[in-house]
Amino acid sequence: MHIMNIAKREIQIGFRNPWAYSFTALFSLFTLALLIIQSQSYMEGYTYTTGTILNLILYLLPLMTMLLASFSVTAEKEEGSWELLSTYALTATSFLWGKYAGLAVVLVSIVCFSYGFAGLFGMLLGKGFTLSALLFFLLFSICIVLLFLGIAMVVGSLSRNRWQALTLGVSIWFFLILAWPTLLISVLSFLPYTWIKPVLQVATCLNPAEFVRMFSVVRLGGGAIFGPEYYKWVNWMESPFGIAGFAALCLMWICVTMLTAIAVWERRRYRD
Amino acid sequence: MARMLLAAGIAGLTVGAVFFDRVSAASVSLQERIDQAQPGAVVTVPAGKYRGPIRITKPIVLQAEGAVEIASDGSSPVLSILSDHAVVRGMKIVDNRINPADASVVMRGNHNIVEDLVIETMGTGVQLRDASNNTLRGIRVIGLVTDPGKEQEGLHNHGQHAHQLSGAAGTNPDVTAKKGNGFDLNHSHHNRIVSNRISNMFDGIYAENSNFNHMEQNFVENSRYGYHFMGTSATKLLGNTGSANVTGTMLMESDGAVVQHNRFVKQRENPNAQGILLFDVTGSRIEGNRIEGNRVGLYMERSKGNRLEGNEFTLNFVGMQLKQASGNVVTANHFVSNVIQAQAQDSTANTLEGNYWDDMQGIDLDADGRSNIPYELNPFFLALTEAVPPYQIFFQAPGLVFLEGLFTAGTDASIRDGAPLLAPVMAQEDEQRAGQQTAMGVLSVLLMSGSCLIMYGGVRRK
Repeated sequence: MHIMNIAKREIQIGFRNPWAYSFTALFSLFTLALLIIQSQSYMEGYTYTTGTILNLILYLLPLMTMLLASFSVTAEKEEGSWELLSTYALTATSFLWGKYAGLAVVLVSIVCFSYGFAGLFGMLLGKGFTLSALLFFLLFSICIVLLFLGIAMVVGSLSRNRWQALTLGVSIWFFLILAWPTLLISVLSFLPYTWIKPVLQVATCLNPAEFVRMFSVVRLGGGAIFGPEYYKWVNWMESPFGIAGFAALCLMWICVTMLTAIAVWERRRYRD
Repeated sequence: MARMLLAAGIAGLTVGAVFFDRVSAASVSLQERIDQAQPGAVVTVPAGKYRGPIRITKPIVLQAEGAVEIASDGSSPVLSILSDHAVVRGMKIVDNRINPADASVVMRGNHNIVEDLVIETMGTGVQLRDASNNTLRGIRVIGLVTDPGKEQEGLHNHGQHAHQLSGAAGTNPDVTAKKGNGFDLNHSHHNRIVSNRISNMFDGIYAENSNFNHMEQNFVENSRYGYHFMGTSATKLLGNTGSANVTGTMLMESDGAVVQHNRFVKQRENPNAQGILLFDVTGSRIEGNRIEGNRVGLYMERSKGNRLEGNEFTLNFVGMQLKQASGNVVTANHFVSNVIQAQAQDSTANTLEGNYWDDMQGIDLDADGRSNIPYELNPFFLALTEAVPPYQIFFQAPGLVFLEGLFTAGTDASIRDGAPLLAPVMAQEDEQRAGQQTAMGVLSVLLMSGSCLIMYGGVRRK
């Protein structure tokens, strides 16, 4: 019951926050740009253009998610509303899960609005996304939002104020999105050759941006681009088990990040 | 275990002897009927099992009535066509000789027609020797030789035992059965090989010193080379498919070949796999082929004066690879989502122009549909994955695109398209897209109104 109330409150706070609208405007413009890129050379299946669009989404969406969500969590501490809520019989677990649910609704609405806008605009122009492409990018974006939201909750719990949250959020974004291959390639060069592939596979499972991207590429029929080293993975992902496995991995990710956030929150609560 | 195998072997041989005694009587009469038939006569073969060898030495029509199966006698080809103008139609040929010198079906005449056969063989399916102007149509060649890894499973398969009666690959460990070719042509010209299906052979169709042969709508899978030509001239390869072979098509020391509208897909399991391999090939046209998901889409070495036009290279590891090739024209091809679109070694004197590269964002100043910036390949990713193949998982990862951008300086790649196309040539499915417009609109409106409602619900003060 608490979770529902917190989530409702979160949706209200979320949409009264002017940042939500500036992000909506930004993401709508952004999807329009994607639409134009895609309409120039659209072909079925996985193409370089699709890959580029996925990358552009990966540049913007995780950052957006982490800033909005971690700010919302640290704001509770900064503005003292958590102190007020603590006077009620409210556990950190239901508080944070409530916040997660509320923020998920806010972010998913922003994403849906933007794709709806771009889809409608494209239809008026007479050339735009195909239905399947729109649905695909929408699902991809929602997956990214839900997974990075979990990380944002950890960031929010760890940070004392918004500045800390900003620093931490941007660093994590930079680490997982931009610096990921560079860092892995440099670190793996110190390992024996035979370790490289298993370490890479484990690392990929630990980076939501990477495993969502890989799964999306495979589902679009582009599994071959990962080369002979990953045939087994790709074949498995193409099978019906692949979807179940992917869903399980996503759920596990969300649960693990949320449990971490809750643990951190509890520790802070008793230490302060 | 050994004793059990021995017992099973003896039992098998006894059954085999009984089986062949019964069928040989029938087959003698079949050969006699063929020998007695007048040229031009139609000999119908009633349903049943027969034993070879069957030899056709005059222009007759040999036609099956119902399910006819002819098995090998263990020493000679099951069916030999030594005449001209003969027709053989609609039977099943089973040949379980291990590593035979000749094929299950041997043709040494001209103007014959062989159609609707099923050939199950441990060796080569059909051999053409100095045989020209023949038509081979609707033949299914199935190789019975199991790959070393799969042999164990084969032993437990009782159906397989029946086929291996005379050869007994499972009981004689000293002899390893080698696969033969589906169709094997030598000094045979002007043949038409149409709508055949070949699986689990060495080469699907192999032609040597044979000219003006025409292959259309064939399908080769799980073999070494799908279509293999050595020293041939004016070969036509139209609308064929090669799937999961080591190499789709291999042309060596050939000239004037026409390879059009074929599909070569998933030639990738083997480290040396290619869609099309051209070695010392001159004056050939490779046009409108679909080359998808291979390790290397098209590999060309020491070849001159060929034209590669309108091919689609998609999802290959390397789209096109040139080595010591010169004077070739590469134009109007699509290079889409290949990990390495193209690479070249010692191959500068080729005309590479007007292709579509999907990783290129060009600028068209004079509105001719072609970019005024040339396409040049960035060799960074190639160098990275050559050193450590598992890094291929980073293909097109956001961070890698970023990293590649830092290493663009000093590209000395010899792949350079002077005037790349800005948009693909192939027509897009506009009609299909138009049909989706309504659904698209409904979804867009739903998404927008749904999210607006949530936003309004959030903002509204109670």
